[in-house]
Amino acid sequence: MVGGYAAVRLREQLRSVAFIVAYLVAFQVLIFGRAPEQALRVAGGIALVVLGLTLFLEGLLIGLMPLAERVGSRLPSRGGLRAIIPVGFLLGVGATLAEPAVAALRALGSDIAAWEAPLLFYLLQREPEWLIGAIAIGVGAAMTVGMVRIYAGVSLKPFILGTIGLLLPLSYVVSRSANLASIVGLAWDSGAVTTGTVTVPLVLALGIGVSRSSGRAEGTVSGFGTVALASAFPVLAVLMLGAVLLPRVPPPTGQREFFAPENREKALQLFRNEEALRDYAARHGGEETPGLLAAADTDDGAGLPQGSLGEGGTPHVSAILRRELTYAARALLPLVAFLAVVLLCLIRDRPRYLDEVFLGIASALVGLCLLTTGIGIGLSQLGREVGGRLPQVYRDMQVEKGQIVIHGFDPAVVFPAANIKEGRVDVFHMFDGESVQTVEFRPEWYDRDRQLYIHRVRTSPLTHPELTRIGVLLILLFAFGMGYGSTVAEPALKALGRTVEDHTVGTIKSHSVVRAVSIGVGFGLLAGVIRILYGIPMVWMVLPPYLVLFPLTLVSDEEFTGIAWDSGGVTTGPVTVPLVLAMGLGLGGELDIADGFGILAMASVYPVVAVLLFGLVSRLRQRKVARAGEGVDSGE
Amino acid sequence: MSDPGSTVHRITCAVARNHGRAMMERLSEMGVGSVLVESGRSVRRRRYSRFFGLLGYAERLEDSPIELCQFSVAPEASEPLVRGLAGALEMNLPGRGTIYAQECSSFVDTTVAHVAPSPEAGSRLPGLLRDLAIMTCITSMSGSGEELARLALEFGTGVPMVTLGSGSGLRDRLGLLRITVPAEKEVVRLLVPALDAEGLMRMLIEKGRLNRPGKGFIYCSPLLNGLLDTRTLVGPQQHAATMEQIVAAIDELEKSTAWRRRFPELEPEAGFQLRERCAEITLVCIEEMASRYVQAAMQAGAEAATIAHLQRVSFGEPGGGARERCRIIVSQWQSAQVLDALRQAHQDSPAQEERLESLEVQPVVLSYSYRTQTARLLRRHHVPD
Repeated sequence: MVGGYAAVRLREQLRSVAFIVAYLVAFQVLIFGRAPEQALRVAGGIALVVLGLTLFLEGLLIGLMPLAERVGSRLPSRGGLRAIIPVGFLLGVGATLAEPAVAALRALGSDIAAWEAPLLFYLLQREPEWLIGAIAIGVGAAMTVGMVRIYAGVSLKPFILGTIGLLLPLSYVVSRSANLASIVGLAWDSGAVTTGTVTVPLVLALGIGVSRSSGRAEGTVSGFGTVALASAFPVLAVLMLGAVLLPRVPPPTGQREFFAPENREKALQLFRNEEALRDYAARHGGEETPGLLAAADTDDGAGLPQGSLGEGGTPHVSAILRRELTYAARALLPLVAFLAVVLLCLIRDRPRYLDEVFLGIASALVGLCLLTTGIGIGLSQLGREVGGRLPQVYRDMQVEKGQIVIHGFDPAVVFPAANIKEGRVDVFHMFDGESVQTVEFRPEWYDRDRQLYIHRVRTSPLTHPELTRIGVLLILLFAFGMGYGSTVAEPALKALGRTVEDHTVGTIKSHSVVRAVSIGVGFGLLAGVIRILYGIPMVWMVLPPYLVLFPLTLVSDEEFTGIAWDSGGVTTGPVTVPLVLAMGLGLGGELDIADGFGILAMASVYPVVAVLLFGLVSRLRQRKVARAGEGVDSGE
Repeated sequence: MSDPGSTVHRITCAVARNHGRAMMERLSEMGVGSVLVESGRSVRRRRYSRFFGLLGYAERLEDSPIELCQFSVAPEASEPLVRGLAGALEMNLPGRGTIYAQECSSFVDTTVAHVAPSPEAGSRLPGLLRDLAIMTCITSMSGSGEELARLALEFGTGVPMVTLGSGSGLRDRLGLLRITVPAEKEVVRLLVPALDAEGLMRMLIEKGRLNRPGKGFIYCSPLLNGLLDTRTLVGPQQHAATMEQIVAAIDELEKSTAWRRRFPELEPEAGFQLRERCAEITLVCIEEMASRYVQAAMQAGAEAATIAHLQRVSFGEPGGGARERCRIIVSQWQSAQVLDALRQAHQDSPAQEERLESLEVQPVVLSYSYRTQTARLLRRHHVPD
């Protein structure tokens, strides 16, 4: 009995992971002509992903979602609005604080230059707590509004269109200011990122519960839509935070002016102290920066951090497992505990099957941990390999990628070598603990006073004129397949699909929702990559799809409006985000682009378009059938 | 049974979701205070041309959302209401929906609508069919509802209606292992000519493999009157009227479906035995309260129950909200016992919201499940009497 039960579920997840794995391996083997590295480890990781997905989804379905649904359906009758408002707000805030995906935003912005985008730098590096706070308030407000909306039975459309209608012109206005423009991408991505894999199913179930308890004829479909608001409100919150903080940061400048002594006061606004500024200058500054700093500072800068390149080495699986378990517990337990407290203390009720809820929570916890571990050692390793190698295949020109700081550099190690192009060149041997490589010596990189040599690692990018057509095509194909494949495996999306199928009594099948959303994400990644490749401003990427969404939403059914906009929020989960990050960072790094923002936002908006279109098509088909009584219909 | 209960007529009306609002407005105009609303889907065959007709025609099943609403009325109000509603929603046209009335004994009912018969002239209103029965099949594996619907469509009697429910019974006796048995059930309802009911039921059991363990069960109850949706096939039409329209027209002329009887002679001993004389106990209570009553019924000897989530929609008065409807099939001799237990549980409830909203019993003429079948065989072979 148990065997059959487990086999069915494992097979289902195996099928959903199969595409992305086959796709990545095919890319590796067919395009690059080499087998995946560490194949055994990767295979083990993929097995963990399948097992983790199965456990996590089952945990969601038997434990977490029933719990949340019960809270949702009992809350209105026990406390009315007075209970819904604080519970919604606290749940939103808690969900954001617990969500590890917020860390992904910092990762995306880790390469930004303080002088190019001071505000963005300030938000991400100096005051990330403010950023997270703003997002949390945004999500909290969204949950409150969403729940109250469902309770009062108001249509979702004015809320969605109103919010987006406010956000679009605001983004446009904001993007006219050089400093604020840099945070537009961050703002839109933060909306996408906050609605994570644990939050979405809980919010969905809660919404369905609340809508069930209201005695209206529309049925339960109006319970969708809260996730969508939770993706839109944080954008507003972050933009507002940016506007508030604007006076505190200097305007964008060139690197030289930024580090110039006369601008020191302004530059220091972005750092906690001078030490931090100096650190930053040494690590991220261009060729002339250390000199500038040294000239400005008479006392010697101590403790310059080591270069991070070439550290390599793969951490042990058990260490990863332990770390992921902490993350999973952080993402899951506070929310569940909050719901349980609300249910037990406020509603004074208990779940129908307490043992199932416990089993579900345990299963979800273990599942999430195995899933993220498996992705860390398996899938994203594979994704990184392909994503990182892809741009390098079509190299034409060199660009700086990173740097290695060598302390106590002795110029005596430098020796001459023959240069193929002209005469001779100075080189030296560099040993990184494992292997020796010969690199060119450049006098301008050597800081004689501090005995420092900063070696700048150069690789080849895809800059605009040199983009080969087939290279671009391959990258786009890769982006689409990766978006599609990783979304198909996304557990929160499956939970959404199941919920939709249940609440439309099977008229909208789970797999059609999953497919529509995945195709949407595929196109979203495509758009995101195009933005990175051609450096298109964020606003021009965000505006067109949203402008398409306005009329689409207006003509769509209420039920599909909620489902579609919600599906935008579910796409950024534990499978998609690491893979997208691997690709976005890889491409962004190769192309020397300040930030990889925008990809996630693109991956959120296109699925909405896809689901709304799917909704319109299926409504058309249903109309044809429903028109049956009136007479002739034309067939296909 | 100590108390025979009062007789009420339970009316069920199913229309496409986009006509749901119209249905509600009519009901409200007719003076029905509140109704139970359930979402479901109807399944039809759809014929479409493959590759612009070059590759001929193909068929697939097409789901469309429907809204089922249910309410009980005093017997004298039932027929005018059904006819009025059917007339207003043009349900005599194939494809518009299904409406039917059943006679039940009501034991607790706070929501029976006493609607005055409408004075409208009866001549314009469609005539109702009298000799109908309703076949309800509760399948326990996801997707098997679709299979049964397909079988029913192939047979061509009418459009099946599918709703969802969750089962409890065997599942609850397994402890935590119950998670391996899916609780979700698909409930397929099909209106059939009463004379063909047994033959159809046997066919559904055999072809739908309901005679295998864990597949589900099926039962058939009589109807007072109703109109069924015969538009089973949607697609290109080559004649002035579709076959469904012709069938509906003859049904209306004959005021009966007897003329389309298909299983003239039956061998009663063929294959498996259907159980006769059972009862369907239906109770409605506030959401999340049903499990209490299910437990009481189980203790009194009931085997299984199917719980569905519904909405009570009130027209202009408070009292709407989420409800649970629980259906329990018991043999006639058990029904008094189970009913007493349920009424006891109802009376023992301290809070108003824990009490039953309605408790109705309806005769079941035929039923079949793998478990009762095997139980009977075991009794026959091992316990000689």
